[in-house]
Amino acid sequence: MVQINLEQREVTLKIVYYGPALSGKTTNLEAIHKLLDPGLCGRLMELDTADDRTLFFDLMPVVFRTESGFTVKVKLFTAPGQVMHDSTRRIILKGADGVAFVADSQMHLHKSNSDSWRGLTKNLKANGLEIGKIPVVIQFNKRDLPNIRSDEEIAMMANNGKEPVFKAVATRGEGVIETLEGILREAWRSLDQNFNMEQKLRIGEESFIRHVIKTKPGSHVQGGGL
Amino acid sequence: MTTPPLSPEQGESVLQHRFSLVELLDLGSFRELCESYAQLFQIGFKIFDDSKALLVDVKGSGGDFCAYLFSHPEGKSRCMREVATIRGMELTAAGPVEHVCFTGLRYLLVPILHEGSVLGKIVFGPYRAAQAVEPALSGLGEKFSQEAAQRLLDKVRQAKRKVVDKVVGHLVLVIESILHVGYKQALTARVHVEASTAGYAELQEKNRELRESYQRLKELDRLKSNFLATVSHELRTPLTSVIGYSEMLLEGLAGELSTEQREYVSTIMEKGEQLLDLITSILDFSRIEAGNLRLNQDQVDINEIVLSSVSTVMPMARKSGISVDCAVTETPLRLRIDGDKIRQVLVNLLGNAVKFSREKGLVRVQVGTGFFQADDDQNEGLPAALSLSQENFVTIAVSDSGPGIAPDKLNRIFDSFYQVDGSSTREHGGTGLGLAIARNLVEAHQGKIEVKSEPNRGSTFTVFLPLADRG
Ligand SMILES: Nc1nc2c(ncn2[C@@H]2O[C@H](COP(=O)(O)OP(=O)(O)OP(=O)(O)O)[C@@H](O)[C@H]2O)c(=O)[nH]1
Ligand SMILES: [Mg+2]
Repeated sequence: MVQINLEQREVTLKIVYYGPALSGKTTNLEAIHKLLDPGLCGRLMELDTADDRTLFFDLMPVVFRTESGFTVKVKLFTAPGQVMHDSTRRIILKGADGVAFVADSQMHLHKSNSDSWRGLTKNLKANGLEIGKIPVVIQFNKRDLPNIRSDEEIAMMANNGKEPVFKAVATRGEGVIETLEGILREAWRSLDQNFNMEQKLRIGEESFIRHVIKTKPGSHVQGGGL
Repeated sequence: MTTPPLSPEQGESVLQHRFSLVELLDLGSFRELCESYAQLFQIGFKIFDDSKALLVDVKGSGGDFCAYLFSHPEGKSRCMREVATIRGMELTAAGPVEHVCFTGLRYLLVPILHEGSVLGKIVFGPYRAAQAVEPALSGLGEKFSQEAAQRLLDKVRQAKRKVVDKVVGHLVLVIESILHVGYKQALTARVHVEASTAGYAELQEKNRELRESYQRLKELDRLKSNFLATVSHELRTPLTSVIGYSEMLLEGLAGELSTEQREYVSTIMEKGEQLLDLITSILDFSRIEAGNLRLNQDQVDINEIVLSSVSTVMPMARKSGISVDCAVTETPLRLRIDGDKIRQVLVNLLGNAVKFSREKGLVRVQVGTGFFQADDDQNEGLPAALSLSQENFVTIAVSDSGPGIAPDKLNRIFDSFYQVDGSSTREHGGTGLGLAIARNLVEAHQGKIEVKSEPNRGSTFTVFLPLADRG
């Protein structure tokens, strides 16, 4: 849950990238790190094994100051996807303000996507959060591979659901910023409703998004939305 | 002060903890680094944390001058006032601030930032500004020697602001990367401890549950094996004798039989064989229930399975004057299935359809890629975007023109031993296990079986099988 420290005039938001093993969560964060203005985003902290599997989490903070003098920190985390790290995932999810679910588009990975989603539901519950209430967006990553869920099918199924759905090729940075923007928007709206963010920080949704997503000139790769 | 009250289960996450400088630094080795830094540039510095506690104090070329001042009462008190001022100065993330001491020496105050927050400050100096300023060293008492002081003052390193900025900038970079490493280590350690504690508690609980259910299952398993052994032995042995002896009677081994006797004995044999079938399917079912079902999956064209199932029931259909209409797809539909098991399912459904059709009735079989209602176990709890959609399923629909099934009975017909109407067993034979077995076999293929029925019009059983192998 968002930390609002009025005394130090600091607000900290937490966004978690969640999803099955190897779906590209870390790759998303790396792409964001590359695309965002280096003056705003801090070092990318990766806690992984020699073969690049996330061991605990990755973390990248994006920090900006509002004109009203608030320091706003958006901390982007990735959870480890490998099945055995379930208790770590639960810890990472604690106090999350939004979840970007990174699904693997490949057909044969449907079951690991589903299992991961159910795990998310369960782990949120263990943290006193609820899947229908916390802001969530879904990203179908690896659109560049063969044997993937078709665009038509995703569009059709997404139509029936309420979570915003994005398509991405994280390795090429496509759709990554759109996904981030999507989850930031969802998270901001929900926080604004619950904590009057706009009034407290004296910035609106659009301005919040533009502050975080300040890309390096000419670096933004299009893609994503349905 | 956090505004929203936190409920206990949402308590502070280890990842939200605001670390202090002391927590992130290894002070011993950090001080050594600072010492050598001060020696290298001949400028000393102090580091305070955000509660204004002094963490590091290393002397540079200004050390002797300051010590001399400090050894005179008035100098000491002025010095201490200066230090208190500097210590109390609040820095923002905005950047460094230069402070000029009463001696004319200078200090650069630089915030130490971590993730945008000020964790402490570096008080870099004293150094002498590039253009000399007349020091205001009067009124420091009789014993204070201006000359001695000036000699020491001349030894203080002179530096342009640009140079100082560069040197301090480098120091900040070093500190920030040390903090990054410290932060990484601190977070890792905390998450690790929390994860292993939680993991351990979970394992203990799981172990206990497993032990209990293992005990229960062992007991159940024993009962089941006993039951199966009894069924097979106690029922099959005498039954085989009944059938065997009837056969011998029919073959005339005990003398010629009259027509009437022959008819009676035939009935005994036929019913005996039915009973044997029943026992066999109960054994089959127990095996599936016990999870001993092994699928022999292979790439198979479902159309072939459908056609061969139809030909199995054709003789029976012809006998009752029922026609079977079979529509397969033009192109082969390859699935990864256990062909024999799916054939068993289809023969069962077709057998029922023929059995329950009225005389001269029609049974239809249709293969296609039909529609799939997305509300089953596979999609349970998933958002629509992640659910399996209909296009990925092959459907085989078997319709009859029989009496149909009443709506309130529909959802029970797949239960084991359930018969829509007790009398139908008597009329049509069967164990009430066929559909339960069929459902188990289809579900073992990640598929599902559905029924729609209209009383007096007929029923349609539809088998859905996943087209792509989706795990
Ligand atoms: N072809 C393709 N490969 C991708 C894409 N995104 C990620 N990958 C690859 O997938 C592999 C796993 O990516 P990661 O980002 O490490 O996956 P992760 O979700 O962080 O995995 P865990 O940390 O183990 O849960 C890497 O080899 C990536 O290069 C994509 O859009 N297309
Ligand atoms: Mg990862």
